[in-house]
This record gives sequence, structure tokens and C-alpha cells, in this order.
Amino acid sequence: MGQRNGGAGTRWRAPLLLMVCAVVSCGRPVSNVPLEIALHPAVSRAVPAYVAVTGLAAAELSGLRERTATDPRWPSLLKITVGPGPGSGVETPASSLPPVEGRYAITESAITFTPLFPFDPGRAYRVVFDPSQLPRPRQAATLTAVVHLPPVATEPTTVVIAVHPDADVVPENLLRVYIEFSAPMGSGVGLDFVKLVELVGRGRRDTVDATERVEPGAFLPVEANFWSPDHTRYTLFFDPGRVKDGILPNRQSGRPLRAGRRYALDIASAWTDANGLPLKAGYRHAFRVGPPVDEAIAPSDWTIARPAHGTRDRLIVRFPRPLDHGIVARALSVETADHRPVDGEISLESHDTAWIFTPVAPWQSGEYNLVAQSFLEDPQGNQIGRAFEALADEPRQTDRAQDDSFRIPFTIGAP
Amino acid sequence: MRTSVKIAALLAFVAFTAAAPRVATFTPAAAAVTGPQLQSIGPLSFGPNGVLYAADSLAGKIYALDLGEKANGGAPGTANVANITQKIAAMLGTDALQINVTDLAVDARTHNSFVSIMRGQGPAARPALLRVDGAGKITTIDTGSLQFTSVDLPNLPANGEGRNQRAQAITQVKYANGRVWASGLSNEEFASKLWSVAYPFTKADAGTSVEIYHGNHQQLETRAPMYAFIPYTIGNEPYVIGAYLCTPLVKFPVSALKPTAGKPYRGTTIGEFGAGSRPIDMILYKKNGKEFLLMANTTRGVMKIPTEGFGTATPITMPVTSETAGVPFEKITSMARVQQLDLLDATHSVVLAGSNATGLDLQAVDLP
Repeated sequence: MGQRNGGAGTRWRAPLLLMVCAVVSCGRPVSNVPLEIALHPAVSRAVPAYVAVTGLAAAELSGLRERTATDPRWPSLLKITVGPGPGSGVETPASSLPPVEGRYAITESAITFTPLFPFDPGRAYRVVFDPSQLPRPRQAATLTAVVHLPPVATEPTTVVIAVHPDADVVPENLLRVYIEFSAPMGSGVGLDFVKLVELVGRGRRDTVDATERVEPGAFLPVEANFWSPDHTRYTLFFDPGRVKDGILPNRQSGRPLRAGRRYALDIASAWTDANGLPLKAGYRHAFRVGPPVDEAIAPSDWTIARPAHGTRDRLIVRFPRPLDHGIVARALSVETADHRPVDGEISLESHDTAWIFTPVAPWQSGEYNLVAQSFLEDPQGNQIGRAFEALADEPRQTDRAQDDSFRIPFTIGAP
Repeated sequence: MRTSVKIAALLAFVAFTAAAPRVATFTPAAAAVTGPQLQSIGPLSFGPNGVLYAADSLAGKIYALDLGEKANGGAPGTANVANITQKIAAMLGTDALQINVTDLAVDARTHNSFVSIMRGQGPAARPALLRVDGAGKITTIDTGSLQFTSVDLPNLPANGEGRNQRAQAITQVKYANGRVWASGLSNEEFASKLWSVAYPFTKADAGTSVEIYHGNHQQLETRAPMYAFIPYTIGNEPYVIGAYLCTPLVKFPVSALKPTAGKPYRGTTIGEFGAGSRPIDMILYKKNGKEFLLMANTTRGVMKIPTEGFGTATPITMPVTSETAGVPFEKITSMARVQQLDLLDATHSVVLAGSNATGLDLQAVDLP
């Protein structure tokens, strides 16, 4: 047929075809541009990544404009599903899972789909466009594409940078431990990734030649969100039922930590960070255990090293035993005698037995207060004037100011 | 052949100029911001008239959400849905490991179940609310379009203040007798607070927070946090029955739950259920003329506790050496791996059961 239509006759037919095609292209429902599926990366927070199908004629698009963004007919025309297969995290066949929810829209030249939640970086999504489901069905094959955004990271880099309390010896009634990470972590809970190990042998700290025994049920069995808001610190509570003297779990199993013994917290590298990647390495925090500390915090035992007038020297408050690394940072502050806060930088030293305050402006001579909030605790849960385990009906032994805080006056001397 | 190629090229050109996209900047429609902007969601609890109380721990708020027609649009009841976490994950464009279920609550009017989840990991996790109806259909609720009121929890330090790393986890929310009650846990201080506020919320009422102590043995008292609780009436007096993290069941008369300077309120321990577990949810129901408390725990399964002894139970004040003590209970071994529990109707509970690794099933279960 092609040969018969060729030759001289083609010369006059070509312009005609051109005209016809031009008309057809504007008015016919089918475009001659190939259908294409593309994933467009996010432009901004307001315009997240979306899938677009191009190659549709204006008439085809206008036939879809009447549909709302969540019209139930959309997924039979354009369906986005998670996976299956590598990169999706899903092995179940796509046909047995509901499609990804989102909003559909018609632009000048495309159908777009913006998911309800932004597409996950690195995850594979299967996009199926079925032209037979257009308002005027097109007799064309179903178009399928697997799309994905680039992964945020592929190599583990996050590590444990500290464990608090970080002293060599901790009391056997220790209630909580903070684990600090170098970058935001995921939502996994410490129970799944941290073990308390008793080091039974005589091996040196940090070595593995000691015989080891895992202490089961050491931690509070709660999967609640004990992450800091930025997910760089996790709070691990020992089971208070075992720590507390005299109640049932304590009588049944004893305290998880026993004075005179050596232990390690083993943090597994399988704990995943906010990018879903494991830690670069596991972490071992070894320590010895001493007698319980079950007395209230007594501010009268604190010493204040006062800086000189006219300087920005550090105010150093020393405690006879460590206070809680997390709470002390926000429970202590400095004010003038007439209760105006003094701005400054706060740091902790000497295994949380020293609180350092560096003022923004030089010290003026006069009266000041060190202010301790009533929620100040040590790592065993003892508060000012009230031990974690107090005798019933025992009032606080320290006078409480009306605003629920404690004040320790000090003076910056005149030059 | 040459001619054919030219025509094809021309055709392609015409088609391109007629139908190709202009250099367009697509701006897919964004949802209008009118409703609550939740940072996190769960736990949940329904009050009268279909009001859904939803805690937002990250924002330190309790929302009262008016679900409107969203509460009534589905088939009545709740059908079983196998591996619901996988289906929810698929709907939200991710895998089941990215779905963290925070609570399950039943609307007593439609008996539809509502599931709150956090999608994603770490600081990027986002909240979602889904409804499961009597046909097993799962619908995402556009919370951003709902009518709502909210109240701030008291004494929460503002986020992002210097070195402040404190976070609050609200562990339970309930409505009773005109007040919304909430219990919470902090990732720092080990306090036990029970907080309540009158509903409807008003600006004038910031709520009342009481420090409640677990009256311990040997005359000791400690600050173990209450994890789950349920409002309950003994005689004609309203009580709160609380389950602590170290397993005691404790009762407090509401009339005594008032903030008293320097003197925390001490509850009466009426049961001890063993170590190594935490309470998840408690529901009250009647069967054969008797009332029961059904309590789900993380590692000790589901316990059925007759409530008839709650008023007269002998307070536990002496050290306990047996496995358990106090009010009697029965272990319901047929209800295994329960992660969330609520009352579905007069004869059924609804549970999310399974594990995060293998997925959770939504099931209606006969009340034991």
C-alpha cells in the first residue's frame, strides 16, 4: 500500500494532510504526542513532588476538568501505588493494596497527582495510566512507569555521641539515662535496641574480655515517645517498679543495677536514624555501680564560686553529687534581687556536678539569686527537699517560694 | 521514502505545536488552611455527641474535633480488616514500618472505629486520622477541614527554647461529667500529673493539674506516672481508676483531686498485677448483669476485673510477695497481642492486635 501511495501523487497530498492534521490536532480528542509519565521533584514546601501525565489532547483534558480533586473515578484512570519490589519497602503485589491517596488536578497540558503525604525519598512508586478510562476512551495500551525521588542518604553516618550520666560510678537506684546522637533519629524505641549487660569478669572497662550477662527486663516497658523534639536524644528509663524499694516487681526481681557490680549499656547499630539508615556503629557505655542515693537534693550543700564585678567570668555552682543532665539545664537560672532574669550561656561540667553560667553582659555589683525550679531532679528522681521515695505525708523540707521555685541569694562584690 | 519521512516529520511538528505543553508551572491545588493544624495525634477519646478528643503531644494541646458528616458517612459498625497497618501505609504512600498507630476509638453513635497514626520517622513524622466503617472501608479524615476547639496543656515549656530537650507524651484522654481528663509522661522529670479541664473549653479555664502519688508500701509514696485511667462511679461518687507504670491499680475520688500546695494527693492501691508490663487501655462493660473492667497490657495480656469490689477493696499497704494481689482478675488468653482496645458495642470490643513487625489486624472481639 505504501508503495502505491508514494511517487508523484504524494506531492499534492502532503500539504493537505498537514492541514488536516493541524485541524485534527486542535479538535480531535487524541494527541499525537506520546503519553508520558514523569515525577516532578518538590519546588517548595507548598508545591511538593507530584506525578504528571502529559501527551493528552486539550479536549481530553477538558473532559476531566469537571472532576473534583478527590473524585473516586480518578484512580481507575491514573493509579499510584507503593512498590512492589526493591526500593519500595513493600513486597505485596500492588494489585492487592489500595492506591496512594492524594489530589488530582488538570493543568493546561497534564493530569497531575499530588499525594496526601509527600512521596518518600528513595521509595519506588508504580504509576499506571489507563487511556481506556478517559471520558472518551482511547484505544491505547496502558502506560506503566516506576518512579522514585532520589534517596536522601545511602551510607550510615549517625553515631552515639554521649550517654548521661557519664560518671564512672552511678547509684544503684538510677532511674534514667540519656542517649545522645549526632543527627536526628527515627521513631524507634530504646527497648528494642539497648541492652543492660552485667560485666561479670575482671576485664578492664571498655574491653570485651569480661564474661557478660544480659539483665532482662531492666527498662520501663513503654514505647512512648521519649525522644527530644529534634530526635537527637532518647531517654531510657529503668523500670521504676524494680528500682523502687518494696513494691512487687522490686521484691520479685530486685533492682536492675546492684551496688559493687560492673555493667554496660550496649546500643545496637540496628537503631535507625531519621533517614531510615542504621547507626554507623554500635556503642558500649560501661560503668560501675555504687550505693543508692535516696536523699532529697539539698541546695544548702551547693557551693557558688562568684565571679568578679565588671567581668564576664563564669559563675560556677558545684553540687556534691550529679544532678539530672537534662533537667538541670533548664531548671537553674540567675536573676537580680528584684527578680529580673540575667541572660547568659549555660553549660555542665564534671559529670553534671558543676553548672556554669556565663553572662551576656559583665556582672554588676549587687545581690543576685540562683533560682532552682521545683521540678529539678537528680538522675534518681530525688527533688529539692523531697526524695523520690518519701515517707507518706512528709512535707517538703525546704520552704517553697510562692512561684514554686527555690532561691539561693549571692552577692557580686563591689570593686 | 523521503517524502514519507518528511510528512512524518511535519506531522510530528504540527502535533507538537498544537498539543505540547507550554512551559507551564504546575501548581497542584493545596488544601486551604482552616481547621486544626495538628503536629501529632493520639490518644483519642469520644465524648457525647460525636466530639472526638484528640491529644497533640508535640503541640501540648487537646483538640475537640467536630467530625460532622465524616462521622456519619460510612456504613454503621466496624468490619474486621486484616493487616490494617499495611493498607493504611499503602494509602499514605509508604510502608507499614513507617506507620505508628497511636490510638483506636469507637464513635458510640455509628460504631465506626477511628485510628490515629503518625506517618514517617523522627521529626518529620506527620499525623493522620482514619475511619473504618462497617464495610471495612478505610477513609482518611481531612482533619484540616474540621470545626474544632482546643486547649493548651499547662506548664509546658515552649519548644525550641535554648537547650530545652523536654518532650511530653500524653498517654490517655477521657471525657467524664463535663470535664476532659488527661495523663502524661515526660522524657525528663518523673512526675505523675493528672490534668482536667471543663468542656466546652473556655479561655478562662486553663484546667487543673494535680500531682498524684502512688501510695506505696511501708508507708512510702512515689511519683510513678499514671499511664492509663478510666472515670468510674462508686456509689454516687465519681472516681478515677488509674493504672500505673509499675502495675498497681489505684482509685482516686474526684472530689479529692484538687491542687494543694506542697501536698500531693495519694491514691488507694486496690490491685497489683505483676512486673514488666504497662497498661494500654481500659474499658468498662456489663455482662450477665455484672460489670467488668477490661484492661489490656503490653506483656501480661488482657485482664478481666469485676468492678464490684472497687468500693470495698482492702487497700494494699503491706509489701506483696505473691505474683499478684488485691482485687481478683481473670486473664483472657484468647485476646493475644492486643495493642489498642476500645468498646465497640454492648457485646463486642474492637482491638488492634499483632506486632509492628508483622502488621496489626483490626478485629471485633466478643466481650469475655
